[in-house]
Amino acid sequence: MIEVKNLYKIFNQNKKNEFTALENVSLFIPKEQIVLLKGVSGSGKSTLLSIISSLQKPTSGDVIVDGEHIAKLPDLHASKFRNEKIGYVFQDFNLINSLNVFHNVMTPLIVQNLSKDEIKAKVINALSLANIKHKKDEFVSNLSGGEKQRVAIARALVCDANILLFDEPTANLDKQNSLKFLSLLEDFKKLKKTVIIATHDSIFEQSNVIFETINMQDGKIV
Amino acid sequence: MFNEVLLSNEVIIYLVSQTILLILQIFALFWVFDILKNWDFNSTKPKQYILEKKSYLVMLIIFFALIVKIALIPYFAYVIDNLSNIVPGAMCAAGVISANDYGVKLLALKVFIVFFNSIWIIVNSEDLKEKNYPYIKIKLYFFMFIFFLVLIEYILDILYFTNISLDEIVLCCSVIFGVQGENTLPLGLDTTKLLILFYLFYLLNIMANISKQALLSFVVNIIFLYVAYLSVVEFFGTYIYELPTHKCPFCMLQKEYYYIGYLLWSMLFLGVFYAISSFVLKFLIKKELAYTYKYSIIFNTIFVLICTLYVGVYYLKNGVFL
Repeated sequence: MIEVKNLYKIFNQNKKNEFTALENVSLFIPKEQIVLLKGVSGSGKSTLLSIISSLQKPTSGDVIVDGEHIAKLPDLHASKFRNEKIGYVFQDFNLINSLNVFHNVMTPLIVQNLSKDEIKAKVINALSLANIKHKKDEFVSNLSGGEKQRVAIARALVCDANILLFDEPTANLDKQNSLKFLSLLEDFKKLKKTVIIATHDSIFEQSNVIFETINMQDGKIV
Repeated sequence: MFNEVLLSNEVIIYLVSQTILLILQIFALFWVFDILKNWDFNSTKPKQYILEKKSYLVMLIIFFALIVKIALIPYFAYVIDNLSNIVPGAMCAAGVISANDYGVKLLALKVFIVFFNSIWIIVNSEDLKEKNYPYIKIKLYFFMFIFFLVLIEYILDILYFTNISLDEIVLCCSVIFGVQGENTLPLGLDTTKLLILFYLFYLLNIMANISKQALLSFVVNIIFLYVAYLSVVEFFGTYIYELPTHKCPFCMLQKEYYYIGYLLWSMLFLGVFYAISSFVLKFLIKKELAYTYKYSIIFNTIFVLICTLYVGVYYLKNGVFL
């Protein structure tokens, strides 16, 4: 369950270039549902995702994830929360080009103090879920956009996070790969994940697993 | 005013470091006032979020300053030891520290500050382990107290180094601690009784720490600190110097004695510190930290072992005691 209460995010506050990215945003996302956050570029979708994932602190307001006030968490605990509960797939994937697929997916597990065998089992499982296991030894620089996205999804799944956040997941994909992504959503539904997708792509209207579409404009929910 | 003391590289480095640390702590202090005045963890208003962000930076600055100040203590000992080359009559830090009225007071204050800094660092680490900053106000008030001591220390630093005369001969260890046969021990103690007390309080110390009796451990360690200091100066030190008349707490910091003084005194400080901190932390944050008892036993044991080994090795080499 994700609850956002009266959230504001103002960049460069009290400066000439002050910009309000989020203005009094309140929303409620039930557990195990897939929700679409829709809006044009600059409407505040990515900022909202980054605050829900505790990558950023709000200017004011509260974010409660599974009963925890995550906007109030000190940095150390915020990192732990992110590592354990959030799987984040960035618009440009943020993969490490100098590492192969296996090692990219492994990175969130480094801090978890697991044995080599446990790490291997988790990575292989995540790669299988994201249908990219066959490329595990490839360097990510050699992969296509769709494959890179699958690696990023595997990395998001590897810690068994219950909440998956996608920032413009189809922005860098062709139509065929975008449709493949839609079919992945059904898998997430089966895996009982809570999913938030920030997008302006109308392709998601074809999916029948979307629980709710939240529209955003100029930092507000409309 | 700018005599050779103030122009020595070691003193310049030391005073510049102290000045930088003081400036850092003054910056932190301004924010500390703001945090203490407006902190309300349950608030989700902009001011609280700003304070939470600021507190992270402030704690980092304070932590850095306090850690460096702890590291500066052995450096201070090294500085005054080095000054013995230019202060007439001084053969080691003992002569330099007693070169004016400020030296001993400054040294004592520094030991207290290191102790309080270390307590602050433990409270800070406990606070960071929690999600709701439970000890933030305690550690900030505690920092204000430390800052007050640091300010006095800084003034004493300046007064001390600017008042070391190079024209007057100072008294050094051989004169301070007398010649063989003269009993300088308090309370009518002789060396045998002192050694009995030394090992007795060490055993009491172990027992108090094993049974996790914070108050008992606190009292025993305060006494042990005093007894251990006297024992090293009066007895064990003579085995380090291999000279029965050489009774000095500072010469052992020198190269000739393999800098063993740094290890010896730091083990004693750490052993006593962890024992005292168990009690202080229980009082300050109402929390018992099991590792403090364990570390106290470890460091005090290393200290006692080093002391005892010097005597044992001397006996094995020479077949007699001093």
